Amino acid sequence: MRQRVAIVGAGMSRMDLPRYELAEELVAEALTELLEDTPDLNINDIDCHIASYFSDHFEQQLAMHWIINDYIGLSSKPVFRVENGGATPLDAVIVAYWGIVTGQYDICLVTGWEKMSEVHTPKVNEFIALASDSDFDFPVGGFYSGYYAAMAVRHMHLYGETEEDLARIAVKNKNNALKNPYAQWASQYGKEISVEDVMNSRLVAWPYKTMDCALISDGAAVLVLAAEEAALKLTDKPVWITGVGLGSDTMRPGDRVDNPVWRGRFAECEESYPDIWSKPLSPYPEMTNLASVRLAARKAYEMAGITDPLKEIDLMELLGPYTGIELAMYEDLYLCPHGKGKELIRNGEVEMGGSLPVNISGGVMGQGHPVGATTIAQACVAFWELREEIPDKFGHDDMQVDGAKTAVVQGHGGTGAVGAVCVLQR
Amino acid sequence: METKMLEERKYDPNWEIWSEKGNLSPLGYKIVKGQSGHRLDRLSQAEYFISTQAHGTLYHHSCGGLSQFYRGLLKKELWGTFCPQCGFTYMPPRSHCWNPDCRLTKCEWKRLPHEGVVHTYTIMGFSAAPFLSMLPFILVFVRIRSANTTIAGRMKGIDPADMACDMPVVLEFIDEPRGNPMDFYFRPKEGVKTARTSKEVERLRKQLEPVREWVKKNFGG
Repeated sequence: MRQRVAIVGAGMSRMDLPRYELAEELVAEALTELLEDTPDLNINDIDCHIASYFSDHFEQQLAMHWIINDYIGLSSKPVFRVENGGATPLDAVIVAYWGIVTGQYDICLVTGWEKMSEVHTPKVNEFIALASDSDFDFPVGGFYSGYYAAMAVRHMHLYGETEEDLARIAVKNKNNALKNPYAQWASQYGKEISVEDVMNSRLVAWPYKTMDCALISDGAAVLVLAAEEAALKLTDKPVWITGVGLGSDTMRPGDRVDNPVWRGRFAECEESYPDIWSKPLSPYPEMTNLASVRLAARKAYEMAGITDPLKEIDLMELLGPYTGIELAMYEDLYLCPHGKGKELIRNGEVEMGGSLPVNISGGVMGQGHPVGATTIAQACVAFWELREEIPDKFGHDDMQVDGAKTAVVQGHGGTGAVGAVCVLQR
Repeated sequence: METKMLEERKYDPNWEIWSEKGNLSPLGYKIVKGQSGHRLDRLSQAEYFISTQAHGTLYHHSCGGLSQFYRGLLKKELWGTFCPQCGFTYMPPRSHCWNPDCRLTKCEWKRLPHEGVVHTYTIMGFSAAPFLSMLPFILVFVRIRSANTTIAGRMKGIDPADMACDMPVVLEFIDEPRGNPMDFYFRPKEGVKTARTSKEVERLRKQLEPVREWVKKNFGG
């Protein structure tokens, strides 16, 4: 029988641009918080260290995780880096989970960080774009905002969202972040925004304006995972990882239209495709949705026994680097039928106080997006929510979901080239 | 066997020197006072030394089995590949078929028509560093006629407000191709009419104004 695996500790740095500290100091800042909250954990008890950062280019340093590893006192322990684009941090959590579930290790540390402030913004975009196809998509002027925008344009064309629907998602996330003392948006902008503010912010790639987009951030986050016996020694409030799922799709979003591997695998999404002549051979995911995430969700929900996600999940932290992809994620995470994502934001169901609050932390457009740390940091917030520690962590109880028992964290890389979903339960 | 040079377009040899110039040597520094602290409700001040360094290099990228595509561009021809087993047509080309049933069958080359349909598009108001001076521009994903994939490219000869999904386009080449996907671009095939309401057109025009001003300011008229 598989061992049960729990998250027993969490910590994160404040997100900002810039954070002047070194990456290893930011990891230490996050780990200090974790150690303070987990007094029975000794650094020597950690059996294995899984590290997450996205790009060697931002700091012109390869194998940065070796620096981090000895800095926090772990030389002698097994360490390696997981790298999977934007999915890197959540995938690192899943790799640590594997290390424990197989019985190889009892206690695994997961660290994640990114320092994106060393090069100017267009260069940041260029470095991130090097994680798209640099033979065909990047050389014609593409970068991630452009790819995701084109995907959103197709989604809008087929399913009828408006720019205002997308703006509502930005308003939700950014205003949530104002209540989060770790959040970059709170220090960078610091006041409430409206749909009109989003509409009036500078164009990045239509339909996206700056306020529709993820932040560029410095920051770090850490988690400690443990096997059941060890977990119960370290905390009386373990948060169990009850479901994990992974999936993949093409590197180039433009390759997805007729992809033979998807044919017949998403009957539930193919019926909703409008009756137009340009219907591709594989109507789902097309260029509008992320099949990698849908497959990851299917697997994770099946493992955790979740059959009605909107009802059974109490809060969700998802990777929505652009408003339109957060909307597509509502669909791909089975919160609504395909093509109906807009209704969840129009009805307020994904707002704090709605039936399933999404990105209470503010997510990547509010809390911050230091890529290698992002979904670990979002998992930290989910962990605190499930332990009802938000009043302590945020300094107020406005953002605590009372009695939360089940949280989902989702990540993906590229334009959905890889997808990951984790179910957390107390 | 020794590698034989068949054709060469030389680059400025100074690039070899320029690209090696940086190598992370310290160019300058500044000392700043900035924020420190774990949470916004627990901030403090600290001083930091910031060092500026440069690093670059030249990449000599072989286009491998896809070399035919790039050589075709030099002759203003569009070459794609197809799988002789399942018939799937690739643009961008692939050397091997990805259909799992075809077990990596070797693809064959064929000329593709210089026309297709805009599957989707975006109007770029910001970009990665190399493309900033070209803003605003239209990025399109075009399904070339008979292809089973779409290729990213640039759209010209159209008011951004007139862009729409499923618009027929023709492919044209620049005057002096260099063997790069920027050698071709797309134009609308027939007269276009905006699918946007007049309010949406006006809003988009307004959104584009600051982009044009910014480019003018940074790169000149």
